[in-house]
Amino acid sequence: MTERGTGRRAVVTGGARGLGAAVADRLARAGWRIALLDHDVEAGQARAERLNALAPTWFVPYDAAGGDASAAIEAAAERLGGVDALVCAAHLSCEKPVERISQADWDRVLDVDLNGAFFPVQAARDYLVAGTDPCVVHLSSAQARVGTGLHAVYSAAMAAVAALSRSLAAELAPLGVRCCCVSPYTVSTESNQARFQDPDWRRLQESSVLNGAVIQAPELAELVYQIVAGPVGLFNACDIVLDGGMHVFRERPTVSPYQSADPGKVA
Amino acid sequence: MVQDKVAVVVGAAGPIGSACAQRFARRGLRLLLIDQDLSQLADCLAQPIAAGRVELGVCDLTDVPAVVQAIDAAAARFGRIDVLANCALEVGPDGCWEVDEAAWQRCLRVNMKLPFFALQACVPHMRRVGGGRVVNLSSTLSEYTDGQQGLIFGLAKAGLNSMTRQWAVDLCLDNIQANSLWVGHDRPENLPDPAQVAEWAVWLALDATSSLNGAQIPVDGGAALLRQGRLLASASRAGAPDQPTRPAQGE
Repeated sequence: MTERGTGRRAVVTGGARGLGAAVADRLARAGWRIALLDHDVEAGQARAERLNALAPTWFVPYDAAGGDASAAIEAAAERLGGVDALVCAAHLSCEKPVERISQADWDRVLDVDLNGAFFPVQAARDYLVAGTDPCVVHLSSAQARVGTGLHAVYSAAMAAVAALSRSLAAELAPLGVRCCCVSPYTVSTESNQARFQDPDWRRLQESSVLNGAVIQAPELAELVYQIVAGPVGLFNACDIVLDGGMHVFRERPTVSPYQSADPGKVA
Repeated sequence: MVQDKVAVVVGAAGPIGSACAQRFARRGLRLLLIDQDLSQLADCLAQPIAAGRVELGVCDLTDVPAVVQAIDAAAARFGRIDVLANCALEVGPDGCWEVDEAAWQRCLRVNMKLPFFALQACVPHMRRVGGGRVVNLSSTLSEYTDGQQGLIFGLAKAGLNSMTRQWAVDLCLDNIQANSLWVGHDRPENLPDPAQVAEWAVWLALDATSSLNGAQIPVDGGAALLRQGRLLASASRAGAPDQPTRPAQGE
């Protein structure tokens, strides 16, 4: 698979750390040229320097909350020599009870999550149309379809991202640009490591998925890579849920119903 | 080690089933292939068959006891089962008036009953090796319909999708994951390339994280979802106002 990516060009927003960095790392390992966009200049430059060992990587400062992304996208496209893939991973979560969500929280989350999902695509549209097997991937969240409480503004933003991705898919399909969405449950990244030290929180995360395992950033990155670099005829206008099955069950079984199953006798 | 694993492909003679079988074989797995006529696939896989790494279970796909027997025999021979790829497909009749009871029965047997009992036969063998993976080949017709086309097929595949969800939960403590792949198209000549669908089915069965579970994954190039969108997009592009529109008062 590695050869297929060589020389292709990806823009990854929110690429300085977390999910964006994991996606950039996966693409770089497949030989893609990468532009990392992030508001955190120091972390972004450091990450780009590290990725440079794998593939040519540039850092471009970009604040997803700020609306218009054309300056950042133009700078990225100029360095890359075009854009074949755009992964919108810039992202802000908010976990608060309803009565404590301030208007500033509300605005900030929607600014980062929705401005950051739309304006880079708008700015990159013409570059993508001219690209090779062009593809946009949005990261939404399992919170978009499962109500867990404490995520009112975040879940609304994530559902909007999924809807935005579908609408963009329909509009850009005639131009040959695919738009797909991935909706993960909590993914372990360096940004939430401290939280995972709390045994109660870790237990909660592990018990809300079927395999009892916390999703790791490279696992999400691999799925995004499969969509971006995979066969063009398969994935478009899709929203793939990577959530350990949390959206399909109410109560997780505590005892296997197959404990008495005996090979040869079950028929 | 992937070479130690054993995969069962039910409906191995169809385009996607056959492509899955060949990909599993290329990855070095031992295989049980089940279908009515496996002669073509037997030619492609002559070498691993001669080496005793591929078993052929020639069965009528409506004959559940024969399929279960073939699975148990292969498990005894290979000592394990790790993967079940349910690729059997019976398109069945189209419009309501074309459905007779025999066609209804056959369509539900191949698309629903067979995958269910194939899994039931595999579960004890998967549990013994500490887990397993199920890939169910489904269809976008399980969720979207044009009317007329594949009415019974669509409801049978919807049943299969439900089984995917149920198995993911029911078997979670046995470390068995299940996912559905929805094959689809906008026009019959635009069917996705079976080799590409198979590549992804094999990725799901062997390489994907166990956190991808109970999922319904369309592999239709967006056809199901984009059809209406495209119509709207072309209609609105023709007379699209440049300014955002604000609904009139009271609208």
